[in-house]
Amino acid sequence: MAAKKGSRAAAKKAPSNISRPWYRHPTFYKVVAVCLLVVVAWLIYLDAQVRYKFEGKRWALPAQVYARALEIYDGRALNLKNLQYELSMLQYRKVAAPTRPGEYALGGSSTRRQVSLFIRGHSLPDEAQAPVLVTFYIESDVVNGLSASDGVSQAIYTVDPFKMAGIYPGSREERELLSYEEIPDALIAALLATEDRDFFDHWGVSPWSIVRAMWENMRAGRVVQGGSTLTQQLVKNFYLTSKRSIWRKVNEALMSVMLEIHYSKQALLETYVNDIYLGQSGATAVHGFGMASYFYFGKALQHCDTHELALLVAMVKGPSYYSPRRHPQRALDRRNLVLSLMQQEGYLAHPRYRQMSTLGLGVISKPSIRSNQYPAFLDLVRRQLREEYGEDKLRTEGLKIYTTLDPQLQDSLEQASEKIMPSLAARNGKDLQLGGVVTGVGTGEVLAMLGDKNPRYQGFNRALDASRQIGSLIKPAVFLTALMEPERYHLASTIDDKPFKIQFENGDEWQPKNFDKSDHGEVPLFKALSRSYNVATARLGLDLGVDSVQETLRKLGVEKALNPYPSILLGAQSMSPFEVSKFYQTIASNGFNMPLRAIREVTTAQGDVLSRYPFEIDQVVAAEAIYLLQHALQETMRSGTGRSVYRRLPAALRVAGKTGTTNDNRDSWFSGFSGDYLGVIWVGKDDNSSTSLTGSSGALRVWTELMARIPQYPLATPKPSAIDYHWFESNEWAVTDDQCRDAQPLPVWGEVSKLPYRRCASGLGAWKGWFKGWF
Amino acid sequence: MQRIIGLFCLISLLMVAGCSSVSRQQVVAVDSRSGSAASASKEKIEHPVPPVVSKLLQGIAQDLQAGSYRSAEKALRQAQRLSVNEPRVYLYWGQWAEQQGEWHQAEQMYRRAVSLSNANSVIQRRAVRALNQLNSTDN
Repeated sequence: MAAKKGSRAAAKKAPSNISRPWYRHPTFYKVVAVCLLVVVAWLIYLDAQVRYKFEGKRWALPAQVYARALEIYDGRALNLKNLQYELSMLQYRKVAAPTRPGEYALGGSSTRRQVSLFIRGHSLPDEAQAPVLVTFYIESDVVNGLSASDGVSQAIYTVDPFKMAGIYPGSREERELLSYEEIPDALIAALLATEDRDFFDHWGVSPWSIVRAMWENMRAGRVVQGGSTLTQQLVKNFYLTSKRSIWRKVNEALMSVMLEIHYSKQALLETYVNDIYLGQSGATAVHGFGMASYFYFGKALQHCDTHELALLVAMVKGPSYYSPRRHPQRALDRRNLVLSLMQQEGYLAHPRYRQMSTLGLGVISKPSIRSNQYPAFLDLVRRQLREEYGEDKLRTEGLKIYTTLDPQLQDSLEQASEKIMPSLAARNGKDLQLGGVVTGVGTGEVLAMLGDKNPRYQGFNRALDASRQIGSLIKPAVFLTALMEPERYHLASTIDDKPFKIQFENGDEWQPKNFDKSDHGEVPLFKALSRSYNVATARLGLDLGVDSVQETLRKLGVEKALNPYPSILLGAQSMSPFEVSKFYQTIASNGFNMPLRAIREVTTAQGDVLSRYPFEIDQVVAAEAIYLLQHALQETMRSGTGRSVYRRLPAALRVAGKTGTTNDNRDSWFSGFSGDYLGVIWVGKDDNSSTSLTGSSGALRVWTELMARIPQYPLATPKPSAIDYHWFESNEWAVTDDQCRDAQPLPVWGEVSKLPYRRCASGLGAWKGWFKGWF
Repeated sequence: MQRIIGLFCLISLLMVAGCSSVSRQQVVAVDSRSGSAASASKEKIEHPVPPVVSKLLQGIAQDLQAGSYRSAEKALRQAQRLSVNEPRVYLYWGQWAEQQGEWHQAEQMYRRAVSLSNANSVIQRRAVRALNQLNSTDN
């Protein structure tokens, strides 16, 4: 008993040098518990990250900005050279006979050219165009004989619009999103064969793939296969970085499994296809197969052949290393490897594989993703959108913006500037600059814009922001004010052009002078405008009242603060070319105010229309007054300060316009319009220093060169019923008999019997006048 | 007697010459392009209306009658792009706007149709009538 007691006591007091197994130690359990807690917390965190990004906005998608789509129909004005220019921008290839979308051919005679054009399929707001081969003729710059090879008769065919720019997020990534259903089967086949054969079987990580890849690479003696699954690649690209570390690899594997648990294979593949990096265009990264197909082949992914899709998949491993433009042989070898893997996996029959392996890469020479080519116009688009959409939405939601830009007109404007500006700069210095705007007369759509003589310059936009004195460009507003009072003024009303001086209350004086320093006596109103006589204009404006002229400017659409002094009558008023376009637009469109629009529609990335910018008009000036003013502005071009245009333009193209020159020739302006287009051009120096240029010798030359390059209709305003033509003799500008010698017909609004009459002195009119006297 | 007859004929001729008058210059019509011109005595030069626009206008008229306003609006926008100075486009646009209850826009479209059509033409008379009806409805 005592011995037992002793052994129990001895056992209780067992010495500490007897050790227990480490896994039974309480500390071990604590450590394990803490580790488990950390691991679980980390897994929860990873899971949250995976789901947050996958289910949220996955990418910051840049807005895509498109030029207007070219519409082809019988009777359309179209110049072949301009058409070819636009097709080259759209990466249409000229071939002997088009067999696939994106090709065209020319034929026919020199007077009647035949065009065969295989239009790419595309969709626009409210309409979709399937790929179709059309044939038409261009004769005297007009389309006729339009037909389609599919036998379906369609009156209008729309060519896919030129994507002119993107509005990028900070990351500067370019993407064209595709849904799973839009991904070609051949692309999926190529991806699976090359990157992940067991994609549809594994759960994110495939140990078997790793082993197989190691075996294949050893057999080939080089790396021909990767061991990562597509899911792992997606995780690496989408969530992590390409930094090589065990920690990253572990995270990658865990996140891959999580993705597989939460999302379907289709969703993962779709994200992979849209996320993968496939090249670089300057500062812009090309992501996704959708964008890459445009970048390398100039066409939508759905229109790519199997060998082209294989090339895209070949670049997954290294877009720079396998770049088909920089390393064509390497790219070709890799592409053929992809094709052989497809053939081995049964996706491609052997004969087809052999045939495809012999094909060239087929890559277009110039990437279709270009940096912003039209910065001045895009600037206007952004300003017009910013109020409605905000900068963040513009840069990240993948909006599609369909603008009014006409690439052919834009090119014509740029070429006109390139041709004329060097000769102007030769006499005036290299710092001579230009701003220009072209709009559609009947629509108010902004069709072309230049903010700098270098059209690609992204900086100060003179078309929108160069606020310059407009000089004589303001005179039509003065004369229109007069013509709106037909009981007081008509085109033959005489105004005294003799110099005068006025003194203000503060003692200042104002003495307007003519450009030629001459006094022209009593001049008819239309001549005072067409010859741009300052003195007569100032006298007329003072008679009408500065307030009245300001009111006319407001009616015409001028919104900015106006100079309240008489000097405004001669153009001591600053405006940008765009602001000038606004008020001349009203004159050109027969007295109808219409906002100048650069955008037609905005849609979501999926094509749902968000905004449409409707056509709005407001008649602000009587048609009769505008008709009279337009007659005088045509006279400016026939015999006034703008008459030099007819050295370059055909006499039958009736145009109207006004030159403008400011003090010391600091600004050279021209604003003029035909039946279709209004163009406003400013030439000058940013530091406001003098040049040798007048409106006629500077801006008008650029305008003339532009108008000579574009097919258009002459100005042909319908005569209002309240207007009649009467003959006026040129001595006292009294009404005279028809066909009197030295007389000319002028339109008159209102009762002519109240006007002074003078019998014709000579010519047939004299006889008519004699007979009229009997009655 | 012969002298009297001769004098009578001369006076008649002179009267005829005196009563006729040309109130405006002959205008030059151009063909569709700026590069060539042809003489004509037309008072107004028109943009030739492409056949597709005439077809569109027919469709628009039918759509308006049938109450298919969305389709009509889409066609109106297209017709305006293709033939921006065709007065019928604005006449129909005015009708469309009236159906939508957009009175101000309707009025402006009718005014535009008036401004773009020949004096006293059928289109102008229709537009003026529509404008008067609109204004009388407003009153």
